Order: sequence, then structure tokens, then C-alpha cells
Amino acid sequence: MLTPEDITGTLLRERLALTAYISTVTRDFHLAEDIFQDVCVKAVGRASDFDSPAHVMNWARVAGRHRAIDVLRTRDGKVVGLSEEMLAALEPVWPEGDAAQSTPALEALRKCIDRLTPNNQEIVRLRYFEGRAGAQVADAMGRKLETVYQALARIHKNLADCVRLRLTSEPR
Amino acid sequence: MNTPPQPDEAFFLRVMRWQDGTLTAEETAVLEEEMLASEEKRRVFAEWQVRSLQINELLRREAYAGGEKVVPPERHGSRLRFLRWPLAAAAALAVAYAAASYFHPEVASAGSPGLASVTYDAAAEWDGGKSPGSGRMAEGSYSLASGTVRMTLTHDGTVATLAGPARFDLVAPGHIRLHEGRLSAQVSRPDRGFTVFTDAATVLDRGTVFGVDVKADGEAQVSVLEGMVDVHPPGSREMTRIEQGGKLLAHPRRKQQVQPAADVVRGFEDLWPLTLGVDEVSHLIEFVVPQTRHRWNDYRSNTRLYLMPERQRVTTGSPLLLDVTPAGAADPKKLQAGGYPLAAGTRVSSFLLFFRPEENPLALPVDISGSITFSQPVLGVIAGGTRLIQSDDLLGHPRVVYRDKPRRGIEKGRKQEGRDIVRISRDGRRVFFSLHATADPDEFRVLVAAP
Repeated sequence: MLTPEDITGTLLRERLALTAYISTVTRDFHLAEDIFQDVCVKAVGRASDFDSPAHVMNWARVAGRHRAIDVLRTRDGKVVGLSEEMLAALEPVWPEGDAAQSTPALEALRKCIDRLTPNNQEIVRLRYFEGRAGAQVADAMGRKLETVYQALARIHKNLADCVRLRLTSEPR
Repeated sequence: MNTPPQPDEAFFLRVMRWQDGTLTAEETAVLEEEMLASEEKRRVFAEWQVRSLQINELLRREAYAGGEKVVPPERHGSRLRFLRWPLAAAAALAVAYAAASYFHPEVASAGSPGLASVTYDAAAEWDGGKSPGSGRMAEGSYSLASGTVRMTLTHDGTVATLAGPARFDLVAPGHIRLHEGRLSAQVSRPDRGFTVFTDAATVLDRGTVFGVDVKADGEAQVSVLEGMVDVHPPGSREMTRIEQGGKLLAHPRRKQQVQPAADVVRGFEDLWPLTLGVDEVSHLIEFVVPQTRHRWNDYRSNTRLYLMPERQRVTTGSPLLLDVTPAGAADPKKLQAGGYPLAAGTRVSSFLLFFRPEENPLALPVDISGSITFSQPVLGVIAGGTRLIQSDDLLGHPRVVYRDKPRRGIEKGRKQEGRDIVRISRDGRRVFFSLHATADPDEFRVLVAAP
């Protein structure tokens, strides 16, 4: 049986990965963060039900997914998104805590973002900091939507390669 | 070991459109089908999602690294539910606090510059003893009982003016939550972003001058004087863009109403000048909101000089000739024929002041005199008809038609007692005027240094 402290520690270690998973339903990072906190409250409230950190995470992913669907259904009257089958199939391949939010991983990503061209940094900022949709990014930058999508695809690929290289080559 | 083949471009395109919420049901089904058939695509999709959130988190940490303790800018739902499970709440709050601290590890210190500083105060009275005594405003809640206050946000120089009664929170650099009252803002650096949260709508500035008026019942009116803003309901990403001259009404429990850009923007006339950097004006000066169907004939008065903001924070592409500078001529008789050049590349804000008396069959002269004080140095005045026309394209308000304007400039060549005078004070912040108009209007353009 886990203590509330164990559960808190587990959820904190997996905060970013779990929030990203929830955002697969919400498509809104802020809302996903709120749902993550709801899940934390519920998890700590039923601490005696869990026998391992893996158990907590399995439960938290399902609870987060269901809670997100409930919130969207209440707010919008419907949920348009990936199916439950798809969401369940994503769980086994979902990155875990260290890969998602360890200091070296985030630091590597930060350095890789710094290496992007100013133009690509602006696309990244508009899309992922301001939360603008692709069409709004294109509008703001006076580009075609297709151009922005192509740039984003390249940016993600570059960042993935860059982070991988840094994590394997830099001394820990 | 063989590396699995990378997904094709069409897959990435679908993922991006899925993130945007623009995939149709059929396209979503295609995306699901290909991901269910390929573990590599599921893995790439998962990494893409996580990386997107990592980027969001890194940029938020960077944006909020201003030396202040802050909380995430936008929260949804009530935290009262925590109280249902007191023990759980303690631990969960620890999680929430730790999560918030992860974004914002800095804690406010005595020497911190705060989130904003007060740059102008007109009879401001603060409730609850929380007043920005030193002029610095830290993160927290404020209640302005009466008066007007103008503040400059530390992170990017955005100017926000609030009229009491107003209740607001400074929640993070560039983020204000307005519970009630009127706020107008001019964003200094659109690339840094400025956001106003209300219970009815979230307003994202896109480089503009705009106003938000929140009533006691939570209804919010967003009006755009210049530029554009994006508005979305709290918790939603469905943006509505409001162009200059437009207005949006939002209520926490009702549908948003957008009014077209042709509407006259009203409700902030007292705040716009302060927001734009006009500190004090004679009681004779009346602020004019630029309109698409601006009709010069509507502005006739024997006792009013009209002040209309024109282009703000524009950079001159070539040298501009001024008729009056702080060290230059005081009256039209002494206007230097060649003008005083203002260097190319200077960043200026422009204001047009005009005086047109009512119809006057006897052509009796009408006099008006006073002053106007700006928060930034006055670089010069354009008062000659030709130079006004030549500078309309660069400095004139884009929505206002100037070509049907009657005779331009201030009058010259008359006797000393009837001569128009426009002068800039020694400290360079104030413009004095003494105008004598008959049937013809008087008009001059003031150029102020833009921060």
C-alpha cells in the first residue's frame, strides 16, 4: 500500500507526461493541467487502493482520460477526438517521467530551441506558448498555412534529433 | 538494429491538423487507423504531444522568469472542491504548488522590480490598504476605489490604464485578471504578448490599443481602438478576432456578441488619452476616437480643441520636416522655410489637434488657448498645410480620410494679435497653443517620442 507522499511523488515525477496524455483528449494544455490536479486530488484520496507507482499511473491515465471527456462533454455538449481504443493503444508507448521532464531532457530541448532560426522560434512561440492554431500562426506571420505546417514538421523533427544527440553525447 | 521507417509527411500533416482541431471525422478515422496499425506512428505521435507540452512549459518558464513569484496565468474551475477531502487536499495542494513552482521558481524579493510600475495617478484611492506606495506593483490583488491610474508593465513596457472603481489581479508578467472596472491598454511589444483575463472572456492582445470594461455581473465589453485583439471564452481555444473599431460583448453565461468594426468605439474616451501617453490636457481639449466614417464637419466648436490619436509607434523611413521643435520656432512668422529635419528611423507617435469654430456668418475670430502634456518627449510639431498633407500617409490614422479635410495647418501672415502660436515647453513635454480661427480651421500634428 502506498502513502499519500508516495502517490504525490509519483504523480509529480510523471506530471508532464501525464498532462501531455490528458491533453490528447483536451487539446488544451491549461485544461489538461487542471484535470491533472483533479486526478491528484482523487488519487491521494484513495491512497489505500494502490500497491505500486505503476498502479497509480495506470489508474491516473484512465482517470485523467475519463475526467477530460466528462469536462469536454459538460462544456461543449460533445467530445470530438480520438477514440477510447486509440487512447488506450497510446498508453504503452507514452514517454515516462524521466524522458519527459528530467532536467537534462528539458535543458537539452531548451538548447535545441535556442538553435532554431528566429523565424522558427517565432512559429514555435505562437503555436505552443500562445496556443494559436496553425491558421492563426500563418495569419500572424503572413505565411501560407501549408508553409507553417511544413515548418512545424521540420521543427519537431529537428528538435527530436537534436535532443537525442545531446542526451547521448553530453556527459551527465 | 534496424531503425523503423519514419512516418511520411502526410501523417505529420494530419497530426498537426488534429492538434489544431481541424480534422474532419473521416480524417480523424484515417489518422486512428494508421496509428493503430503502426506502433512507430503511435510512438511518434506520443513524442510529438509530449514535446509540444515541454515547449509550452519551457517558454512559460522563460516568460515568467521576471523575478516574481507567479501562478499559472489561466486556471479553470473552482478549487473549492479541494475542501471535500481535507487530507487529500493537503497533499494535492502540495502537488499543485510544486507544479506551479516548477514553472515559476522565483520568489519576489524586496529589490524586485515588480510586475508593473505606476507612471501616472489622478486622485487614485485604493481599498484595503494595498496601494503601490513606492510605485511598484507586485503580483497580487488590487482594488482601486476611485480615480485613475496608469501603469507600465515591467516585462515589456505595455501601458495599462485603470479607472476606479476597479478590482484586478496582477497574476504574472503580462497577465492581468480584471474582476470589475475599466481598463485600457497599449501594448508595447506584441511579440511578448499581453493578456487580460475576465470571467467572461480572455483577451489576447496582438499589438493594439484596446479597452475592457467588466460590469459587476461579469459581463465584459472589449473595444479595439487600434490594431486587433483575439478573444476566447475561458477554457476554450475558439478565438474571435476583433479588428480596430470593433467591439465584443461577453457574459459568463451567455453567447458572445461581436459588433462590426464600423461601430464607433465608446466608453473609454477618458482612458484612451492617458493610455496613449497624454498626461494632462486643458479642459478645452476633447478626445476624438478615430472612425472609419470620420466626418470633419461633425467636429465644430467655439470652445473645444479636438485631439485625435493617429499612428502610434511608427518608425520614420526618411527624414521628416517639422515646423516647430523644442528648440525651434514659436510662431508661424518664424517658421523656418526649410523646416527642422527629424531623422529617419525615429520612432514616433502622432496626435492631430484641430480647432474648427461653428458656422459664423460674420466671420468673427474665435480664440482658444491652452496646453497638452505628454508622458514622453515631444519631438516636434507639423503645422504647415503642405507638410501635414505630405505626412498624412506616414502618420495619419489609417481609418481616417484626410483628403476631404478643409484647409490644412495653422493660419499665418496675420497681425501679431491674431496670429496662431504653437510652442513646445522647455522640458519638451508640453505643447502650448493659442489659436485664432475664423471660418477656416486650425490644425497641427504633434509628434511624440515612442518608447
